This record gives sequence, C-alpha cells and structure tokens, in this order.
Amino acid sequence: MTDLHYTAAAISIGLASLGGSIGIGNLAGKALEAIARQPEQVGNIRATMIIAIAFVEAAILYALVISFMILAK
Amino acid sequence: MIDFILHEVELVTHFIHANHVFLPFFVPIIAIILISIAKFSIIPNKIQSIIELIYEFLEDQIKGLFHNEKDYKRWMPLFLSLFFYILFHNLFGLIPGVHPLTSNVYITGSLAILIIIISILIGIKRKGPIGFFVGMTPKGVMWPIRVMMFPIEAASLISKPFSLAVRLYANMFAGHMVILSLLSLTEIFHSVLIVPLDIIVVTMILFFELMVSFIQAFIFAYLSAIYITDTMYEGH
Repeated sequence: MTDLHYTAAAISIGLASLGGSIGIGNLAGKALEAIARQPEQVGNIRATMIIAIAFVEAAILYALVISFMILAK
Repeated sequence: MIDFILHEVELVTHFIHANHVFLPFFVPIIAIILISIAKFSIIPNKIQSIIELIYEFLEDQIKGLFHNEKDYKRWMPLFLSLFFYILFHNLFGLIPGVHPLTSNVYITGSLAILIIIISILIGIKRKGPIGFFVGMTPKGVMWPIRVMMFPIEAASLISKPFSLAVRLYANMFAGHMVILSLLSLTEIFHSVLIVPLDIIVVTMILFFELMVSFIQAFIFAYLSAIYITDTMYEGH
C-alpha cells in the first residue's frame, strides 16, 4: 500500500460524493418547487423524491465500495 | 489513523463471518415467532396497522406494473416475501454488534441472480425462446438497427443483477463503515472529549440507517417487479 492508493481512494469517493450531492440538491430543489406549486400532492412527491434520492445515493456508494477495495489491496 | 480503521475492519470481518453463518437460521426463526405471537384481527392493532401500511404502499406501487389482476395475484407474494426478507435482515443490522446478512455481496448477488433467472424464464415461457430474444430489442425500427442493438440489450440484461446486488450490498455495508469510522474518532484524537459529539452523530446515522433499510428493501422488491414485468409482457 502506497500513498498513491490513499490518494486514489480519497479522490474516487470525493468526486463521487461531489456529483451525487449536486444531483440530490437538484432533486430536492425541484421537489420543493413541485410541493410549493401543488401542496395537496406532498405525499406522492415526497415518496418519489426519497426513492430517487436512494438511486442517486447508490451511485455514490459504488464509489465507496471501490475506494474500500483500493484500500484493502 | 487509516491503519487503525483497516485493523478494525479486519477484526469486524472475522466477526461478520461468524454472524453470517448464524443469521440465516436465526432471523427466519425470530420472524416466524413474531408472526405467531402477534394477534391479527379485523380491527388492526399497532403492529398490524404498520404491516398493512407497508402492504398498501407496496400494492399501490407494484399493481400498476401488471396488466391484469390475475398476474398480480400470482406474482405479488414473491415481491412481498423478498421485501420482508430483506427488511428483516436490514433491521437486524441495526442491533449493535450484528452485521446484517444483506451487507454480504454473495447473499444479495444470489437474490439478484435468482430474480434475473426468473425474469428470463417467464419471458421464454410467455413469448417462446425466439420471441423472447427478438422482443429484447425495441419494436417499430428497421431490422438492421435491431440486430445492432441486440448486443447492447444483452449487456444491459447481464448488468441488471450486478446493479441490483451492489446497490443493496453497498447501502448496508456503507452505513456500518461510516459508523465504524465515526466510533474510531476517539482512538484517532486520543481524547474522550469527542465522545458526546460522537454519540449524537452516530445516533443520527442510526436513524438514517433505519430509513435506508426500509427504502432499500422497497427498491429491491420494486426493481425486481419492474424487471419481471418487463420481460413478461410485449413492449408497448
């Protein structure tokens, strides 16, 4: 295990969480807009938003697994 | 610092293996005991209304995927049992010291491969072997394009179980790793002053994990429903 391994692991999870958090931020912002426009649909919108966030989060967690694989080398 | 975490990971890994031999037998027994001591009645009590709430949510989401009632009645038990199996294992992971079975990639992988094999078999049964492979490509385009698209569609069929397995595994594994890293902070800073902060943050993460275990169980069941209904019916 070299310093390069640590750097690679840190960069991979850092970039992944950067992209994922931008995505989740967009998603939540759009959901808030939708709720503001149609407050009676709040339950549906929240459920769909949480499911979509889970999908985005899965992509971040792929990177986390990859970085753990790099560290375990 | 990182060495310490890796050392902890190694220690935990030994523990996980012991856990994962024991849990597949233990969790179903607990689930059966819970169900047999719970009193079900027409007027629902607390536990029953939670279960009914979950069932109604799943019914709302999955019923729309099926084209007729008969198929739905026939296939719903599969998705329900998948959901409750994964949910029970996820919830067991919240007990300190227990590593859930779903944070083992072999278990999630075998569940995902099972789902994909079922979806391929039901496609072959409904449309015939030739109809299934032809039906993988979109309708209404010229045949050279459909021939070109076949490898892409085949690759996407093969990549489905990977994404299904790794999604569940990574979610359950990552939560525990985050908690482990946070708890290692006391060792890293060589001070007990960090403990109150640590307790607050870890408790918050545990509540987050509770939410994640429900969502991931639902997503696994819902995606397997999508994959199975996708091959079951003709493209629309």
